[in-house]
Amino acid sequence: MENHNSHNTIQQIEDSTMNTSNISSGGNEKRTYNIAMVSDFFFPNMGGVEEHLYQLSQCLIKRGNKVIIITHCYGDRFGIRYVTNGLKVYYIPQAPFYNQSSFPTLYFTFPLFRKILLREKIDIVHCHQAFSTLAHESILHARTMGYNTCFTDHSLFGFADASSIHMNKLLKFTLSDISHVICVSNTSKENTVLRAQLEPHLVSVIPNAVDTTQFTPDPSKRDPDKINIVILSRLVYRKGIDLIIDIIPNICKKFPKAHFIIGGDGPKRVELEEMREKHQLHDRVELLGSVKHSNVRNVLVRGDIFLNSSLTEAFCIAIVEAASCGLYVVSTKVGGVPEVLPPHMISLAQPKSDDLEEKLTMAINKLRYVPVETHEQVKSMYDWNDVARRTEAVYDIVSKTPKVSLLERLKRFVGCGLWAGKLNCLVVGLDYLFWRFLEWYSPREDIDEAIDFPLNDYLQLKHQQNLIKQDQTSSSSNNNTK
Amino acid sequence: MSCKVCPYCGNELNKSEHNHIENNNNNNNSNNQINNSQGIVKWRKILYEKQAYSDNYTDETFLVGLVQNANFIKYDFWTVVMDSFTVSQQISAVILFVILFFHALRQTLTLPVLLSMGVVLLVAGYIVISFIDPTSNFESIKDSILHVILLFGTVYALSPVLRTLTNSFSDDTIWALTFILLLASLFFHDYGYTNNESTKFSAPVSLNAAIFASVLLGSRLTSNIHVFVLISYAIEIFALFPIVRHHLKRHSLEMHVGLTIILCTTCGTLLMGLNTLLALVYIGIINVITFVCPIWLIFIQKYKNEINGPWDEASVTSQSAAENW
Repeated sequence: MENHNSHNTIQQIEDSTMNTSNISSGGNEKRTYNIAMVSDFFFPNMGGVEEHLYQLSQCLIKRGNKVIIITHCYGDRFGIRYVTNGLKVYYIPQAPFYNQSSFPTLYFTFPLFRKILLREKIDIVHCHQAFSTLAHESILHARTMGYNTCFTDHSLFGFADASSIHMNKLLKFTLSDISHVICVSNTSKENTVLRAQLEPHLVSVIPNAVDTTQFTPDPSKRDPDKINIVILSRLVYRKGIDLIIDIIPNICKKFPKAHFIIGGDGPKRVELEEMREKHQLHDRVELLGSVKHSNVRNVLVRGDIFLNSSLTEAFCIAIVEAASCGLYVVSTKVGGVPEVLPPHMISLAQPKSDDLEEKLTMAINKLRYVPVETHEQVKSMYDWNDVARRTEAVYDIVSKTPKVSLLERLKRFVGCGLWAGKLNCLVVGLDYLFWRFLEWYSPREDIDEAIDFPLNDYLQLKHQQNLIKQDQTSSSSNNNTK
Repeated sequence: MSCKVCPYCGNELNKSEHNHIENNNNNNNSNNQINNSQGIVKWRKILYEKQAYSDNYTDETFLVGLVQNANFIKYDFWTVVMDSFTVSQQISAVILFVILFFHALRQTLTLPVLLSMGVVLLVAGYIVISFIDPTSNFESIKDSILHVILLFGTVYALSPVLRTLTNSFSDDTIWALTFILLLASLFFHDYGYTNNESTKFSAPVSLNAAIFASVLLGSRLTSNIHVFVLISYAIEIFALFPIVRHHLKRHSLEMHVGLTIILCTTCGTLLMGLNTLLALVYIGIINVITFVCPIWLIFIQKYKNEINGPWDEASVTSQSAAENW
């Protein structure tokens, strides 16, 4: 089964690359780009941003672009690595200092960053996630070097607490001179426009997607005697675990068939266990601990209802994955969640335990199991190839924006604030001087160009090998039957 | 099914088997068609359907969820002045404590006077609380009298130790440390409680700093009994007096105002006896806090720009967590 799947995907890649080459040779104006994706967050770290970077890069490569990823080193993983389909990853020697964000050094990454961009003949620098210090620094340096940049914001921030204020100031600084910004939901767009005081037309909304081939329903894994409610999230305050702790005992009392499967780990796990102990629910509430991403689907397909209780969420991939596996979703109505799924797939509750309990009760009462239908619908809604196509459209806009002079850039920065504006100009001016120094110290003519990964040859070779393998297996099976 | 709403989406479904680039071209075509023939398909704030608008389209409904200054309070000048009294009270109390110390140090007030004044204040405080605190009854008063005897007994027994504890420090160290500690005590004081905005007195840092300062000052006094009296005053002023003020403010505003006036005039007169310049500075500070700061607060309200919207993190009051408290 798995073999068959992988063969299919290769076929798809083959088809799409063939097509792109046809188009480019046929004189169609579809342009391809050399893109550098920059973020502190990439594999081996796991999460929404990492998944987004990987999937988007893969689809962009399939569409004929060249993509490299720049991230900081993870443990002993540093230097250059190639992952699937020749996606080149630079793990640059920057030490992470808080939540996997690299230590902010402002100028020290510039020489290496410049070399990478020149070696790889990059056209567009695409940075991800407002938490990532590497992304902020890269925007600054890339703009100094005259590259067109875009930025994807993956999360929501408030305006009141100290850390948000700090992050928003930083974001306002780096985004003062950005070519285009991408947000993952309309709510996220509103948030980013306010935080960085951007022109709304500079911000595009391109949702995340889900690899629906990975998240397929499997009705045989369900237990028809139970109503399984799945919760998959980190067990932290921001994911609303307190709400879950409040409603589980009541739901278990109301529905003798209800059964909770909770995956994930975190500080709130102790409280969940206390609740289970207090209400004697050991046989009704299953705590799985942290679940590997490859195992998520196996947990999801056991369930009938997926419960999401996040207190803030820009997009929420988890509920799309769940819907793709055929589960009905009950979620809190926060952030971008109401935009993600159509009303017949999701039930939205206010982030209060009584309302969430009421909506979950209603969902259990009128539960209708139509996994295949739901899966097909999700498949038509979210697709990484579509995301890649829309991102390319952004690249088209970005690459057409005119070059700006240093003076014009300084004008943009000085508007940031009475004192902040001048400070920003100082930072930018120094960065420019540093760049001129680097151009003199290590001239671009002396920097070797990197050899591109021979993707077409690689795919053809792989395809041929696969065919040979297939022949062998088929012939061996023929022999067996004889 | 949702896809029926939009012909664009239907296209997508039927041809999902085909490769994507061809699909994209189709999308673009249908995109144009919609724009040309029926450009009235309204934009909706959803992501699950492809809409006939570009990705950076900004609808007129953009930012409708934005709420500005939701918690805006229009301050009334005299209310703010009344509320500022609690700060003046605390400052006056701290200064009164220091004045008492100087009288004890220079022995301008004799020991019997100091002792009897302390007892009178303690008893007066208890009488006031027993009258105006509705939760107080005979049992609770009896309990707290036992507590007081135990506490002051301990202080009395420890006073020789407390007197010599920081004896070896030089005078300058004592004055500097005391000044910093009393300032810290002012900064970390629980003004919300004395202003009747909360019902639980919790200012551990402030209280500790004040008691530490009193122990430091105690080392400059001449006899053990003096130290006992000084620390007893510290307990009365920094630990018990806030409770009285909390109940006074809750009970009646007139008494709150009356107490403030009494405290400030006493403090001012006594300071005048010690040093005229200090007294003037004190009067200046009290006036700024009482009149200038409220005007300033009301003035800067027009710069307030609090932003709320659907992106805010929901706050959760957990039932089970509430039970645990």
